[in-house]
Amino acid sequence: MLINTVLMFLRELLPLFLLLATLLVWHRNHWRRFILLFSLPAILMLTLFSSNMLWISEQLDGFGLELLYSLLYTGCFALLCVAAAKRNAAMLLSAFACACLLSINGSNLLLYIWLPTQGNTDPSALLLGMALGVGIGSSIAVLWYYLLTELKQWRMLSYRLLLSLLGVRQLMMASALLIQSDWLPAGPQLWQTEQWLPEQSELGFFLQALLGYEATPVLSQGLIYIAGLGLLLWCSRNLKNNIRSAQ
Amino acid sequence: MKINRIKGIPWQHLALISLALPVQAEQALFELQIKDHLFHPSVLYVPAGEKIKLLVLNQDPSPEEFESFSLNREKVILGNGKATLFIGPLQPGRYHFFGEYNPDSAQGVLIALPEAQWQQRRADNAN
Repeated sequence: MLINTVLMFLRELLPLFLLLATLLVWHRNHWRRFILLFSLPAILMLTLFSSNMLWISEQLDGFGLELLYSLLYTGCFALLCVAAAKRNAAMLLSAFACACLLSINGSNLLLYIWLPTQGNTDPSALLLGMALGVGIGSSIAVLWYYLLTELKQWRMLSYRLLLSLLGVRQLMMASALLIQSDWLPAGPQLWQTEQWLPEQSELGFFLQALLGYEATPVLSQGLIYIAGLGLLLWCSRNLKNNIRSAQ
Repeated sequence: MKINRIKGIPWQHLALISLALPVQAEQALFELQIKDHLFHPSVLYVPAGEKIKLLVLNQDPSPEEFESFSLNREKVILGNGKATLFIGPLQPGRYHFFGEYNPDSAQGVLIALPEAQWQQRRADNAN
């Protein structure tokens, strides 16, 4: 129970923490406002989705949850694109992008914590697992934040690239959900790297949270990944000036 | 620029629309049950090389998440609920899956059989 809870929390929260840390580097001078703008819609969406989980999951032939999640992942990517291109509303849009991601991962965690299955389990193991999962995730995010702070100062292109990879990761997640719902054709498998780098390994786990690593991607995912990465890199071509003017 | 039009719509647009629409082909249906945090059957045989539809019935009152790294699939199934997901076409081989909320007990493997073996298995089951 303890280990499962730690892994569950880490898996759900690490992508969010990485995105939050990356965007906090961007909006570091106004971080309180950023947190406020992120928290309000996140709590609202989380409450809305969690309280209607059963209804949502029954919609659209039982694919309601997948389609909602893929919409939120795509929304997160689109908001990051616009935030990177538009200087005026960058903070608001990037805060909303994080809120989209939290509403997905938070809903999954609430389901894990609150539903009846947990009634016969040890609550102390659950609490300790939650604390460890959040602790490990936030420690990685803090290290990531300081790494990016240095990178942003000396190598702006690296920061742009990492932001774009984090953004396109959300698109990758959306495509996987659409493929399993049969709303997007998969196409042939591109490659198989499970022997070298399994997704469940520590590095695979981190790369999945950072850039949407898949050991067995399919053609449509590959095309979406390249197009999405190109689009976000293009949208963020003036990011350096945008960040400078924001500060 | 080469434009192959159907009723005035450029082919690039048609390609994009076809990507966005759900695929309508009929797929073979396979069923998996979750009871007492265990998958039944824990070994599921499917044909390789064709897309299949997997129906997962959760008979427990608690939710479960069907998860498979090798199949690239994850799906939450609410307590006493059911869920459908599409898989494949798969290469012949073994694909491990598990219940993410109860990974110690809910474990299973999906085995994709080549055409000849699949037909043989169907014939054996029919007899």
